[in-house]
Amino acid sequence: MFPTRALLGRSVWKGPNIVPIALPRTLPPPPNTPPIRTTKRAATILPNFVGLRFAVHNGKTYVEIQVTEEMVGRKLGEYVATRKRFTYKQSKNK
Amino acid sequence: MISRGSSSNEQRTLVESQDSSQPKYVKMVFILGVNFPERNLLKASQPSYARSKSLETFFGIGNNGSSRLLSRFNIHPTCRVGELANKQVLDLTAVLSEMKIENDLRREVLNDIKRLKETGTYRGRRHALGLPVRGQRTRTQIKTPVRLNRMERRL
Repeated sequence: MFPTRALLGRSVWKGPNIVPIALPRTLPPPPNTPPIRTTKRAATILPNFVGLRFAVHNGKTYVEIQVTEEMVGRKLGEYVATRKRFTYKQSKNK
Repeated sequence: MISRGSSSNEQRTLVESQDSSQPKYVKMVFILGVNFPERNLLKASQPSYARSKSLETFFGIGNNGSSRLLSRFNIHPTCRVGELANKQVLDLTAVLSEMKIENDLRREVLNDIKRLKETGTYRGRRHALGLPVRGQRTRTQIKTPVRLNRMERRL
């Protein structure tokens, strides 16, 4: 019925948003490798990202995520929230 | 072939009707284990008949799905359940039992929501909070997601 339903969000001729991200040279990276810092939240998670640690910008700080197999095909930014829940703080001086 | 449909060949049982304006007995036809009154339309051609469309009572079969089923078995769109030949009833039941409808489909949708939540996506979080998932504004008018969006959402 809709063979391209999954691709409706983006034009087919563009393909997925593949952003050049500097991946570690040796795979899997040795322990104590710092996570890959990036602000490219719209980058599609590729199959060769699986198992890597990313530090994705949330607008303020870099939040670490571990890429698993289920995340392939989605965007890095989907896993890092940009909003903070509203909490009321009592102010002392009126 | 589904077994609980019990093949409907001689299964047009007589069931007493609750409605006194209708004839006292209404014949019923089994399609995929569900009894439908014979006077029901298979597919509503007009909105005024919407309450009696039988195929669309299955979760997962809507306007498109029922049209496709009717055209596949050469059934005219204003056909009533009682006018179906036995073979057509059997064919419909066979095809419906192969399709992913009712509880299978519900389970699939719920699993998709659960997977979104477990992988930690923004969409999963919005489902769990009972807020709109697709970027709608939340300043006003979020009654529907508040009512429906849950982890175990009602379908």
